[in-house]
Amino acid sequence: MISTEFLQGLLGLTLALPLLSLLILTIGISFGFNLTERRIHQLLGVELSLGLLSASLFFISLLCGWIEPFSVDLGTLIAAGSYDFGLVFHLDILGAMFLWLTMALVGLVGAFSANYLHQDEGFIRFYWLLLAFVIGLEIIATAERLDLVFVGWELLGISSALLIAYFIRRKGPVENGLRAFAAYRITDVGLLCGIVTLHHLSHTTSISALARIDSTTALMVGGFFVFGAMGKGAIVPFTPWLPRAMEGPTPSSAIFYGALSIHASPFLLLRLAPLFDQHLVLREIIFTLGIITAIHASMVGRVQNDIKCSLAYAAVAQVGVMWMFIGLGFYKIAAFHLFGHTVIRTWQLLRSPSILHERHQLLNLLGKDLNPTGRHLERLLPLSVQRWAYRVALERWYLNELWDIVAGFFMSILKTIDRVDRRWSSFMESESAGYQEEKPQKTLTGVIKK
Amino acid sequence: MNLELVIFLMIAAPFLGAIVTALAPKEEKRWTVVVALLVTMSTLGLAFVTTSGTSDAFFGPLELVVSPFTLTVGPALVLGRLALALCGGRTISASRDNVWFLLLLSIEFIAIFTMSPAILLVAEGLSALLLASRLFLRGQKSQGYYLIMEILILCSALPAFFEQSIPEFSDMPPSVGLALIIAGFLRLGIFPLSTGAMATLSKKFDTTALISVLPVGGVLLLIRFGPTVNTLSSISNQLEIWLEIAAPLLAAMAIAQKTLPRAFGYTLFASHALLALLALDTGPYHVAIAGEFWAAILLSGTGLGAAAYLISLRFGDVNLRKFSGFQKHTPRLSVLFLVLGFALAGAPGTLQFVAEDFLLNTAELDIISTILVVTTISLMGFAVLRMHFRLFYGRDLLQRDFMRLEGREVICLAALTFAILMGGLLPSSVPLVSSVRAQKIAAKSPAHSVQGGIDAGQAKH
Repeated sequence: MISTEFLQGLLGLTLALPLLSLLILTIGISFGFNLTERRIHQLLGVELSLGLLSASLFFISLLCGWIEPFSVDLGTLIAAGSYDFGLVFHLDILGAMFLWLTMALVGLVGAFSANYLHQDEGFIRFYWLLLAFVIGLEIIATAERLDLVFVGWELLGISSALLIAYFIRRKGPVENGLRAFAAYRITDVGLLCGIVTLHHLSHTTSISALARIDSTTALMVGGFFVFGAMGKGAIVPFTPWLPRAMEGPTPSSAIFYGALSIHASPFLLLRLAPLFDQHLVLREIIFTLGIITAIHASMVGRVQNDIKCSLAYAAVAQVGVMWMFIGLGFYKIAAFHLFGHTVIRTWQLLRSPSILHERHQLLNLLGKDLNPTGRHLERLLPLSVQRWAYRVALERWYLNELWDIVAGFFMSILKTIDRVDRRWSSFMESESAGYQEEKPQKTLTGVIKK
Repeated sequence: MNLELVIFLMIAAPFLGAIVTALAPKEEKRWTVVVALLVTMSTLGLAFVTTSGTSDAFFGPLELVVSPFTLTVGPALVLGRLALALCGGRTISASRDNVWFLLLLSIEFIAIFTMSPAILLVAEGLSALLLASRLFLRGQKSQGYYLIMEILILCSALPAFFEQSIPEFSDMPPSVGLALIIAGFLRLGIFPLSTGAMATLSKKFDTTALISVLPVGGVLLLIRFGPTVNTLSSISNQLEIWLEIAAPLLAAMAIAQKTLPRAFGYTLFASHALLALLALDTGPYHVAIAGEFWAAILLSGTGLGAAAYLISLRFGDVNLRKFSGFQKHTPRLSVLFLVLGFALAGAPGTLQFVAEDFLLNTAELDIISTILVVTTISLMGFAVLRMHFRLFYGRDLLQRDFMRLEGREVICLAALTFAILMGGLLPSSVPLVSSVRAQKIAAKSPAHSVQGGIDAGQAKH
């Protein structure tokens, strides 16, 4: 029998290790220490190996029933009256599974990236962001309070956007990083509103207290949380950011959009499952969103002409299926699906850069072409419907256009207000009618022209 | 240590610094400014030590109070200005603007530390007058007009306060209360009253402009008088609706901007709109939250402004609709800009995040208000990342070695970043946020938590 104190200490250490590594890396970068690729790789290797060992111990022990779920209190960040921001972490089998996935897959991707990004100018930046990502995921996996979950959620979003924009010289990835971040921020509103509303109505943000709240509160708060989980999971209509996110380096695509980041969405729903049990409408919403997303991603994924986008849509389709399971109340199946799918999709995405090479090898070995695939249920549909479905899938259900229209509408309003504001200030400054764009005040030598 | 002497030094140091700076030769000016600010900072430290950081203390003639509230906001204000003075470099720091800065600091210190509403109004009127005169001299008239409006409002309200002491705020005539809040809004740049400040920023984006729009006076007016307006539910509801619309609108406007100063300005004003919303709240914790939130905005806003200013200083106006690719030349500035920007937008691990979490969970907001506040925070984060990407990412088309930061500039920004991160990771180190203190505030009746530092008022009477 393992003592609770030992487990608590080990969990605290597991949570602290990536933070320590991040600190070492930050200090190294800030003070210009000689951080070679080898040293960074060693640092991450040691940290993730230790993390994986302890995560394996937790996971196996909980799975075999050797230990009971336990909590560790690392203190209170801030406290006043009935409000406190406690650093309380809780490890149960679901959290241990996600923690194990985090350590195992990030370790794998970290090892893979050492060669993949060898001598790349953003090597250090990549590992720094990977560590921030690990911290975010660890917090999500083990946080006992939703305030803490939000901290991890934010870290995940920021590191994700910065990794999509990894190739900083190219305009495309940077714009796509911004677009992905926009989707995250929109849905984060739901998550934060849910947390605040939960605190106002039930005076707690503890996950363990979710089962005790009344159904009306559950409906309101649960609605916010479902909306909050939509962004990271690329649930319809927030799917368009996902193919754009594939602009980042393949290791980050694998770990973020094939594996852990995209699965944080069903994981959050599984964490909040007691809430959804309080109101059937919530489960119906989750099921509906899941099935729409699964159909959308399956349709669109089949007409993609590059492997990463195809895999991304395949991953979204499976996330949609997980949402369906959760909506139906099959939580264990959803968790099992999450575990298996995360591993297989990471493997597929990491192999994607060499897929053509492998296909050629396979063809050489077989000595003939492979049987054509892709003819399934659509054969039962009339030709006109098939053509319509193909066109709609090719246009990705026009979701990109929809978001462009919405963004364009709001931007036109904002620009009109800005124009009026500038004209008013021109009038006050007694300048000529209509504002003029500001002229540069400085020269290239940096001397101010007064 | 004699506390009265410490408080006297705290007010006198920037004032004397202003005189010395005015008389000093041009090449010595920036050092006199820095020394004056360092002395002021030291006196704040002495005040903290003398009062143990928790108890209140009084200084007679101006009814000045040293409390956790003042010991949180004061250092943030001085640290921010110190960073700006050092970031300004030889050209800016040697200018006459610094004399104005130090005079203003001295006056604002009186305003922050005083518990007399009449003295507060006089001090704010004086600071507005100084700012307005400086802006008119520099040809930045629009913000000058807004400040004159503020002065007129303050002057008209002043007679009502000469006869009243602090506990009688609840008897304040509704029109006076409303007028003072409007005066605060004018200074805070609450939409649509942000026009003047935005014009000032666009015209000459330097430290003067930055400080002139850092709306210390406006925040003070709201924190001191805001809760009293709350007793008048019809007026306070209207004000809250105004702020709830203005805050997300200001944050959204930051996204639509083409120039860096305006994008920064709108982000800053959005955070101030959130602060104003908070300052009008009557919840028992509002003093603690408002003070912490204010300190966070002072640090992160000044830091982000200084970072933006350093870019403008080197490159002039930057078009945010294009990518500028500064990352290669200033990687440190890129990181600091991102951290300071996300700090202003309330990212986890920063002082602002703690304050926002505290605010959202304790302020009495309904569902719609919550959604609007959270939307504002969300939009601010997006605006910051957009600025960062457009400034630092993309192809670098020119060799710009002069983009590299100097040592003092890195130190200034790093010090602000460090303060923000330490405040976020160890919020209990902030005097106002220490749990014991916050619980003391909570234990007091709502009537006693009306003004910032009112806890001191209780001791006085």
